[in-house]
Formats: sequence, C-alpha cells, structure tokens
Amino acid sequence: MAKKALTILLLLLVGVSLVFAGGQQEKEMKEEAGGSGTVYDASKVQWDPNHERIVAKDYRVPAGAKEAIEAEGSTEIVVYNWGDLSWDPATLLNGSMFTRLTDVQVQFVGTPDEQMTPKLQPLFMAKSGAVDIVPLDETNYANYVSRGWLEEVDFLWDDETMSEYHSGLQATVLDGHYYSVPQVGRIIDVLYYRPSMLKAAGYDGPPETWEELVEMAQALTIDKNNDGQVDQWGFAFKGGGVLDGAQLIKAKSLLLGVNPDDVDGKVKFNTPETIRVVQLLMDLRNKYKVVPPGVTAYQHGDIADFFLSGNVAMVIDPTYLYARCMESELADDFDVAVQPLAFKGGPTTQIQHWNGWGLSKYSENKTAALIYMDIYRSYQGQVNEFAIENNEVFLKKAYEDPKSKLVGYNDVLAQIDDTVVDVYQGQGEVYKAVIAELQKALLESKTAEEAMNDAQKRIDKILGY
Amino acid sequence: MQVSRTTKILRVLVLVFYLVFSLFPIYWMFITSLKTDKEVYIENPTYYPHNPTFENYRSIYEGRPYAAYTLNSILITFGTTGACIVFGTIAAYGFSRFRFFGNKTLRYSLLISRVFPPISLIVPFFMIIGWLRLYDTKMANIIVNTYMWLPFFIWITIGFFDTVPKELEESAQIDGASRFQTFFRISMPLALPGIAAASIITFLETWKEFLYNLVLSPTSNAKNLSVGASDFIADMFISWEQMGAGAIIASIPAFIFVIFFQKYIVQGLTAGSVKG
Amino acid sequence: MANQSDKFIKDSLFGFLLVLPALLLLFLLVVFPVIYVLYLSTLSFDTTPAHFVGLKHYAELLTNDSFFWIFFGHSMQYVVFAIGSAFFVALLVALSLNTINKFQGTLRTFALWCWAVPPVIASLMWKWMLNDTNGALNDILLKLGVIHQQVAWLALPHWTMIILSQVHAWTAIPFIMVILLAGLQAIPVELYEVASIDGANGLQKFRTITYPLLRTSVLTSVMLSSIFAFRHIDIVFTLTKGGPGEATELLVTYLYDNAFNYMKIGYSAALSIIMVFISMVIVFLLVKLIRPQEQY
Repeated sequence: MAKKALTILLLLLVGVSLVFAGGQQEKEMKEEAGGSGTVYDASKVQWDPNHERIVAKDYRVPAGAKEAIEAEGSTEIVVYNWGDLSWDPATLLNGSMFTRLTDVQVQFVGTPDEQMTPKLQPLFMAKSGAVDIVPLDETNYANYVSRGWLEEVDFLWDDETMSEYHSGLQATVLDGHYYSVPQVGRIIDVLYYRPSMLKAAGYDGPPETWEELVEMAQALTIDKNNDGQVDQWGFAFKGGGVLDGAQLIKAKSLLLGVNPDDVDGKVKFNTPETIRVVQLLMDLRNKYKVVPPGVTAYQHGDIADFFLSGNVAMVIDPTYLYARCMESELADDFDVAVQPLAFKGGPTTQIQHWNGWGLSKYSENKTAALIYMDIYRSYQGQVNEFAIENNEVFLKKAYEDPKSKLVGYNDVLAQIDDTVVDVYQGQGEVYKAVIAELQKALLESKTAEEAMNDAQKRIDKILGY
Repeated sequence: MQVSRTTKILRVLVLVFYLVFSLFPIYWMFITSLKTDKEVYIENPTYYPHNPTFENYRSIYEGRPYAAYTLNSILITFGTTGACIVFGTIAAYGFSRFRFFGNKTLRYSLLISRVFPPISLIVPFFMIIGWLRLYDTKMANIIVNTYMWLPFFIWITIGFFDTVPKELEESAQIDGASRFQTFFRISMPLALPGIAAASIITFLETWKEFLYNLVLSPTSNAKNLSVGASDFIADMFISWEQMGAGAIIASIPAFIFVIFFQKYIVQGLTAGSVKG
Repeated sequence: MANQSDKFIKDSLFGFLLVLPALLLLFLLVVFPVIYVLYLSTLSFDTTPAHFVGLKHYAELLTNDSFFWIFFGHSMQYVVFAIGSAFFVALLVALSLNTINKFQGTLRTFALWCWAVPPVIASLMWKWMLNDTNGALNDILLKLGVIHQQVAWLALPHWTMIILSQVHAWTAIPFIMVILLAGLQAIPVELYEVASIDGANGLQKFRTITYPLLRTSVLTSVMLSSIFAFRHIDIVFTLTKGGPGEATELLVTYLYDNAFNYMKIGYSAALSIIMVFISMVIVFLLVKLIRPQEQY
C-alpha cells in the first residue's frame, strides 16, 4: 500500500512540476536568438562632441538618444557584472542613474569571474540577444574582439576625449579601433602592513626598497612560542591564480625598468631583469623563508584572507583590500604605502588592472546600452566608482571631486603617476605558461633562468613568434 | 549467524572513521556560517563559534531570491526524478525481460550521453534550448537533467530487474495475471531497492547540478540553489562566512530528503520472499 | 510451433515499445550536440569567421601536443587514486552497514549526507580547510602532533594530486556505497548461513558468495564513478587550478582552458571527442575486468 501511495504521490509531483515549469514559456519569447549582428548605425544619436559631455558635472543624454531608444523598443538591458552586486554599490548607483535618465531598466547578472566566459560563450556562439553589456578585463577582451563579438564604438571616442583619461587606456585600442569604455583601473600593487608588528621588531615605517623588504621580512618572521613552527610570517605573495602570478612578475620587472608584455613590441619574459625577479621570489620562499611555502597556490583572495587573519606582517595586494581591512579587526592596526622600489630612486611604474564594458554585437538594445556605457565612463559614473567603492578610475578629473578626496589612501595614490595597461590576444595563455613555470621554479625543480626560458619557448609558440 | 568480536569492532571502527571523514567538512561549513567575519579570520581556527550569530543567513537573503532558488531546485529535481522513474523503469523492464534486436548495443549506447564532458556540450544544448524557446525555464533544466540521468537510471534498474527470477513472473502469468499486473505486483516490488537507489542518486545529482543550470538559467526564474549559493562570490575574494551560510541553505533540503528516503534502498528484498 | 514464435515476435515488439520513449528522448538530445561538437572540431577559430581544417586538431593533439599526454597521465592518476580508494572505503562501509542492526537508518543518513552538498561548494569548503596557514586540517594535525610544521597541502609537487583525488573520493563514496548496498540486499541470507555451516570464514564467504553476486553493482558503480571522475573539473579547478607547476593539470582542465580562456573552440571540441573515446575505452576495460555474469 505504501509503495502504491508513494508511486501516485511521485506521479502527482511530476505532473505538478511539469505544469509549473511549463508556465514560464511566454517569458522567453523576447529573449531568444536576436540581433543579426549588423553594424550599428551611430548617426541616429548626436554623440559628437563627446568631450563636453563626459567631463560635465551633470551628465546629459545626447540628442537623439531618447528617440533611438524608443525606436528600438528597449525596456530593459541585461548587464553582466564581475562578481555579485552586493559588493558593487557604485555599479548599482550608476545603473539607477541610467534608469532615471532613460526610463530603461537594468537587469544585472552578477557572476563570479570563473563563470563569466562559460556563461557568455554559448550566448555569443548562438548569436543570442540575451545579453547587452559584458564586463571586460585583460583575460577576455582581446579574445572577444577577435571573435567579432563586440560592437565597434569608434564614435564614442576622439583624441580630445582620450586625453582626459590615463594614458594606459590607449592599450584598449585594438587594431586602431575602440570596442569598450573603461569601468575601473585598479592599481594592483599597494603595500599593506601592520604597524604594531613592525614596531615590535624595531621598525618605524614600511620598507622602501627590496633590500629593506627582505631584511624586515626576516625580522618579522617569528616563531613566537618556540615550537619549531612559524606563527607570524614576514611577507606573502601570489604565486598562483589565473593572472596573479604573472602580474606579480611583471609588476616587479617594471620596477627594474622592463615591461615583459612589451619588450620592443614583443612579449618577453626571459630578460635578465625578469629572471632576477623570479630569483627574488624563489629566495623569499626557499632561502630566506619569509613567506609560507603555500604561496605557489595563492591568488588574490588568499592573500587578503591571510592578511586579515593577522598571521602576516606585510603583503602587496590591490586597493580593494583597504575597505575590507577597515571593516575588520585590523581597522586600527594597518596602514598602506607605495610598494617597495627595486632600489632607491628606481623606476616607479605600476600595473593598472583594467576593467571595462563592451557592447554585444547581437544586442537588440544597442542605443540604450551605449548610453549606459557612456554614463559609466563620464564624470559622475567615474566619481561614483572611486568615491563609493574606492576603485581607481581612468578619468583623471574624477580625483578632484570633493567626494573623491575623502578616500582613505588618496595620498598613496597621489604618489603613483606612471602606470601601464597591456591587453593583447593570447594574454591568458601566456600568463598561464608563465605562472606554471614560476611555480616550477619556486618548487626548485628548475632554476629561475631555466624556468623563464621554458616559459618564453611556450610564449613564442603561443604568439607565433 | 555467529560473528567474531574482532569483526564487530572492525565494523564499528570503519563506520566511525568514515563518518568523521565525511561529516567533518559539513560541520565545518555549519560553524563557519555562524561565525562573524572577524572570527573566521583569526589566527587559530575555532571549532565552535564563540559568538554564534545568524547574521550571515540574514545577509545573504537580503536582496537575493533564495526562496525562489529553493522552489526552483525542488521543482526541477522532482520533475527530473519523476520523469526518470516513469520512462526509466519501463525502459529497463523492456531491456531486461525482452529479447529484441540490438538490445545489448542499445544498452551500451545509453552510456554515450554520460561520457561527454559537459563543458563541451553546453553550447549545443544552449542552442537546442533556445530553439525550443525554453531559455531560463525550469523545463529546460528538467529536460537536460533527464538527459543526464535517465541512461544511468535505466542501467541500474536493468541490473535489478535481471535479478528477478523469470519463474516468478511466469507462474503469475499462468495464474492469470496480465503483463501489467505481473509488472506492478511482482517485478517492480522486487526490483525496488534498485529503483530506489537509482531515484535517490538521480534526485541528489540533479539537486547538485551546476554547469547546465549556470548556462541555461541566468535569473531567478530557474536558477537553482547550487548555482545560487555561489552568487555572492565577489570578484576579488570569497566571503567565507556567507559561503558557509549559503552552503548550508543549499544542502538542507537535500539533507532532509536523505533522512526520509534512505530506508527505501534496503526495503523490499528479505530472505524468503525469493522462494515465493 | 507457430504459437511460440508468434509470442516471441509479439514479446519482442512489446519490449521494444517499452524501451522506445526513453530511447527517443535521449536520441533527440544526443544527436544534435554530438554532431555539432564534431563539426566544431573541424574548424579553427584563429580567424573570423572560423575556417575549415579537417582533422588537423586531432593530429595536433595526438602528435604535437606534449601537454596532452602529460595531462592524460595526470587524469589517469586522478581517476585511479580517487575511485580506487573510494571503492575500497565504500565497500567496507556498505558491508558494515548491511550487517549492523541498530540505528541502521540514522547511520545510513549520516553516511549519505556529504553527498548532498553541491560540488562547487564542497570544493570551496575543502579549499578553506586545506589552507596552509588558516586551515582546519593543519590545525588538527598540529594539535595531534602528527605534523610539526604547517603543510601546504595544495602546493606539494607530488602529493597534491593524491590529496585532490581523496577530496574527490569524499564526493564519490556515497554514490558507490548506495549502489553496493542495494546490491548487497539482493543476496539471500541463506547462502551465508549454508556457508557458515560448511565452515567458511568471513574472507572466504566474501570471495565465493558476496563478490560474484555483487559483480553487476560493482561494475555499475565503478564504471560510472570513473567516467565521472575523468571529466570532473570542480575540485581541481577550485583547489589548485592545475598547479603547482601544472602538476595537477588534467585533461578536463586543459579542455576548459582551451575552450574558455584561450577560446580555441575548435581545438577544445576535438579534445572533448578524444576524451569521449578514452572514456569508452575505460568502460570497455572495466567490463572486461569485472565481468558481470547474468544472474540466475
């Protein structure tokens, strides 16, 4: 009897489920395979002159835009975002500003980094109109452009407009064309340290050169209770991840005056300077033993967790960690500084990590989406990003806004004025090879020179040198 | 049956070791979800929360449609399991009892769909679902999950129908029972442990399904708990305490299901019933 | 005997009809994707639009890509270590659970719980537990005195693969155990009693009674979990991303990188077809090895 009842119950549930599930069908009509991928007709909207509009303290929608949006029948745009939006109040604010100005809703889809391309690729391959705006960074930008998935937006840019942004933005021009607008330009290497720990070891301030860093890290790596196990580490770095390990090498090479992503126009990770950087990292782990052995697997989240746990005296991490520290137990016992230079008076070039927005070729709401992008790269949008979320931005004028001046580490940023942004096709594959070889060097199965030469062999094959 | 003392002790040891190994991560998830972020990041991990708080549960619900995710998961999972039981039991019976051309080949070809790495299939599946106009629906997920688990369901159930002795069925038919009655009263009950095992597996695996739901269900219309729980990973870090809360919420209905349905694996075949 | 062959045809037809709905459903959903992937595998996406290259990707993968073979080896290690230990533990647990009379329901519930956790989440939890400086595992082992230094479980060149395979085993044991338990239920108790009377001990009983009758369940559970382990990506992806130094890079993570990071869509399609073939070979070998008999 019980079995019969169970069978009937299950069949009922199947029936009910199917009924419920089927009821969602009508909603899907508008979201299936859409845009034909034809080139957008930009003349409907009066974009020119861009410059005035983007530096204005109050953004005004360009003439013709409202009509074009109506003609396209747009009521909502779908915007994919790196990570969940509860951590992106500025993005939400810019979105609601957009809605206020255009009467078009924004549906944000927050997606963790690793899920982004698996979610977007099927949409693009199927030429679906289900996404309007995609978030871009070095890992996917060049690839999307080369596959022809992004709409060309030359009409949004001109020389005068470009001059308002940090020069690094020039790197986002591919083959002479524009395909994006900047969202943020996070400085990725800032030194975080614990004043109390430094004081206890006899230091008044943070290290300013690599030599000082090594010396201080050694003094700061302590076995407090003499049980043969280190309780406090002096330093830590990111030897893993998808970008982190490679960008670490690049960042330090820059401080020696060499940009591995651009050595006479080529990607070259086995210059003497870069090999010296790898050697330094190896020594930190294996010779001086001032970093935990597990650094080979660390990526951005891990370094942050490590610092927040209070087990390490100094780390180098992007500026986003500042806000997290302020909300943690360390709020009164941490400080930031410019990362140590290779030597006193040495080069001060930093990497700027670029995030941008791009427009899908298959979108059916292109004008509306373009307005969103335009708002984001203009004065108000960029100020919001910096003042609210503390993300550095490319628009130079944004730093002069009164709200921006209140950001806690503004003085550190003021000391950084020489940055690079590099975006090229195959970058993801190159970085993966570099990270793999770095890890082998850290594990001492190869010397620094062997590792970077092997990395370069792989890079040559990837980029077809 | 006489069982030596050492065997008894060994049995207990095996179970204890296994239970500790399998349950500790869940326990860890649970206590992490009750900690404040300050406590999560302190120097030495704590094994019970010093200031337990339900704040994380509250904060992940804020602005996130967890109720919708839960309902989606339930509907998708029941729909899939139901479809598999209906289609699968019948098909397994057919494969097991009847000889027809291509029986063996077809059985093995069932496995082909299991064998493809899901990553390479998401693009064509996306297209199919698009043509069927089922993007972002629960039905899409039911279809895809049935595709994934029906072959498995059939495969296992065939094995159990195979163990039902033909003589039983034949004697029932001689006694005047129709094919349906034979099936429902004799064959199915005897194969029930297998059907139950297959159903539980289908249920739980569909519950946990991640990749297809990720690609086919971007909004709360059909997003399930498994994908929804990874919602609040920020782009630069993971909030571990919230992760713990999300993990517990994503797992609790499945835990409850296990509590109620695990006994069906062993119900049914006991000594003596085979003799009829 | 016209009656008998009539009945035979009628029976065959009936059987085929029973099978038809399921087959139809699966056929419709299998044909298009497989053809599509095969089609993609003949294209190269280095240009826009993609151009036809025939079987070039396959040739390249098998002859010119040293990574393919290395990662193939890693995948095999992962599968063997994971399913090997998972099967061993699952069998022991199933045998123990089968005979214990008290608290059966509760024990079974607890034994199955770890399986209810979605894999991505489980992987993240393990990552946090295996963390070298803040993780629970190091803390416990240190307190117990088993180790004296914090161990970077996810950064050991040779041992990390074993660690990852054991995390996978954690997710696979319940699956195997459920199938084995159900199979154990089908073995009549009298067989054991007769054997006891004949003087057989535990091990002999297992070898002569349990294992032969359990063969189908063993084959099913091992085969399915091996295929699944071969293409499982969550654990490796979340915990090590293939590191350190590509020591834990699997074919499936290589597939992922090619498809989504390098966007070599055609190349990855070819790789997935090759992986399908490898899986089928695994199935074939397992069937040969375990050789389930027709029962009764």
